[in-house]
Amino acid sequence: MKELAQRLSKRQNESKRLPDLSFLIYANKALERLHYCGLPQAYAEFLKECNGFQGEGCRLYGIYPEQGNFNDIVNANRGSGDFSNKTRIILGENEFDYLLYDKAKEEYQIIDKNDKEVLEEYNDLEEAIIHILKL
Amino acid sequence: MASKRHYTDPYEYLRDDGEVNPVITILDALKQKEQDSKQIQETEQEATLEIEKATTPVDNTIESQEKEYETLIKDLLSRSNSDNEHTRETARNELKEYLSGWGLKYVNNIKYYPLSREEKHIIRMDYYGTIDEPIKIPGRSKSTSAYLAFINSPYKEKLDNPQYDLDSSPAWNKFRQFPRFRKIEKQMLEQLKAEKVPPHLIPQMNAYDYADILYRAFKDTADEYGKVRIFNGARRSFVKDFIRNNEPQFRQYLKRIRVDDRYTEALIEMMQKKGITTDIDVFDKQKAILLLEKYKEDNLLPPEEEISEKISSKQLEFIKYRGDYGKIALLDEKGKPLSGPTFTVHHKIAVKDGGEATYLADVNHFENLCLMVDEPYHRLMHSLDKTEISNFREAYKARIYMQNPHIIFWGGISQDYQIHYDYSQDERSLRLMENNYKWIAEHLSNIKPLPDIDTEKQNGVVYNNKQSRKQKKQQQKQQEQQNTEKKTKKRIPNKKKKTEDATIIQDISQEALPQRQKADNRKARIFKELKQAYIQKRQEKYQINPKNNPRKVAKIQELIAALYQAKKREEEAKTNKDKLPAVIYKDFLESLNR
Repeated sequence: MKELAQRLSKRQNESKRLPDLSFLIYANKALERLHYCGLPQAYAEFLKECNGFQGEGCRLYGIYPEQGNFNDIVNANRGSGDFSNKTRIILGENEFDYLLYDKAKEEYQIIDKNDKEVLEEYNDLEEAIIHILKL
Repeated sequence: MASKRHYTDPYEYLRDDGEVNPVITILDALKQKEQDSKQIQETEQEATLEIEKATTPVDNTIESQEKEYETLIKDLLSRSNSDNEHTRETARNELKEYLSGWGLKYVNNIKYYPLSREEKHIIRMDYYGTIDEPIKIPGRSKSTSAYLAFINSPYKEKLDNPQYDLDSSPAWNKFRQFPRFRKIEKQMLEQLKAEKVPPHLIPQMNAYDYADILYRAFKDTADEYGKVRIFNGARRSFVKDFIRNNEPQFRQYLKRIRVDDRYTEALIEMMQKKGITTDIDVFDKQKAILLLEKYKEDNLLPPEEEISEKISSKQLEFIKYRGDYGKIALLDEKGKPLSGPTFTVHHKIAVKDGGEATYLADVNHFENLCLMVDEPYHRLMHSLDKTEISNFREAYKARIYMQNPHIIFWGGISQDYQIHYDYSQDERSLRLMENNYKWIAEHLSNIKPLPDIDTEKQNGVVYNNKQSRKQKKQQQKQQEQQNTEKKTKKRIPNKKKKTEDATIIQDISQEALPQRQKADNRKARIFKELKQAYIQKRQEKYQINPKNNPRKVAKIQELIAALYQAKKREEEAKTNKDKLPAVIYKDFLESLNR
């Protein structure tokens, strides 16, 4: 997982700053305050090595608390309609699907944006990230 | 005395009800104004310096107008995602009012025909051109149990020159609607032979099974993530086609938004060569050459390695691997790597919106795609998306559509920030599309009806990995039979499996319609179920045994086929046969306006 995060981090053209540990905590608190599911531990660890990713229509959300920045995980979940709630949080997307973490089932899901059908389920975050990033 | 670092919550601007704190927004607005005024001063200075270049006074007003639009759109998007219902609805209504002025249209209540999971999988493979490493964990794999049992078996029967009848495979006939998959059909057949797949398995294989076969065929080319690229994909092909047809206009757009010329050159080169808009490396070639020569001296590169002005991607990767990319990267005035806007590709209409785009391949046709700046325009296009399913059957959706069907690049609200291209006048595109429809009409319509595949069985295996009720009953019967056989200890001759009557015309023939129609798959499914029920009743009533009364059964089949053909002819007569095939989006827009 760490290797994948470092590889993705190197691919970024812009120098994306890694989030402070405190920012991760604040992001988690903001998600809970807004009645969304908190960050899964594995994804929080991923963000410490790679603060999100963007490319070829694919995106993994990071910690960018500036207002209106939709690369930020909190802002992105606010803008996802009813995809995310107390038990589900969106971690990324591509042109067709969302990458979602289901807290109740403890699994990562690939969900069709059009009709919300669950297309794939993964127990491992790395596999789910590789699926959503169509690089 | 060391000063303590005070962290304030960066998300403080979000209140518990999702509203944005007004005090902080005022401060943000003041900061933004200061930044804008600085930027305006800078742009004014730049404008005076660049008077001899292409910019005219009108461009400056367009540029400032675009920035205002951008700010407005970001504000509306932010408010339309508020948890406060009143704020959200107000923002959405405001957004809807602006749309027509921006060349967009909000349509509510579009009938939506959901696709099967396999169809979605095929569309994504065709679009991206890649296959992920198949899931091998039992119980989670989407492959059929028959295929899994075969592929995981250590002992495989030797086959002498097996002949695969791909016409008998419903799944592969869906793949065949896409020209890119037809091109790799030979490689797929070779891999089937290499894997010693028995021909009788072909009709039972689903899209995930074929994806596994294709993955194995191209396994040697797998990348560091385990993905395999089987072809270029619709996305990359579209980007290449776009830059081939619209390079001057795209250059002009990048100039308008003040992207560095060096980045522009590198971006256009990548779009032409690979069809990608990210991972753009902008570096000093001379410095790179010197660095590579130094590697050669230090024996880090083999002596026979050719170093020229055309730096290969492998050489560049090696420089990055050594951690020396920073030495050759070109930087802007602020010392940051050169960058530009992030682009994404938008599907103008999703598959089977309102019954249009009945061929799966039409979804990924260039006419249906539009290159777009990600933030905030692509987000705007999806800001009012909604799908509602009623009665567990019919689905209706709301979406924003573009009014002009010929837009292939959207970089802003103003016409100067958009690029239009009419694919119905593009000879190459027309030829490809017409060839595709002809091929489908010729090949997929000639498939003879085959014994019906038990979809409940297939679906039960694929989606639940559990036995369906029918399967459980059959298993119970078999067990009871075995138990009675054991008791009587009689040698019962091996009964041949009863082949189910070819009473139902396969789904393939529905899809192999010679012309585009507004086919309703759901109605076809209900029609199929009714037919099945009718035949069963007939059999029960007259105790028709297929072995004893094949003629009667054949007559019934003919009747049903004739009824179905008559219905098809009626529907065909309604459609306009003289329409050019390459007008999917235009037809769709016209249907909305009726």
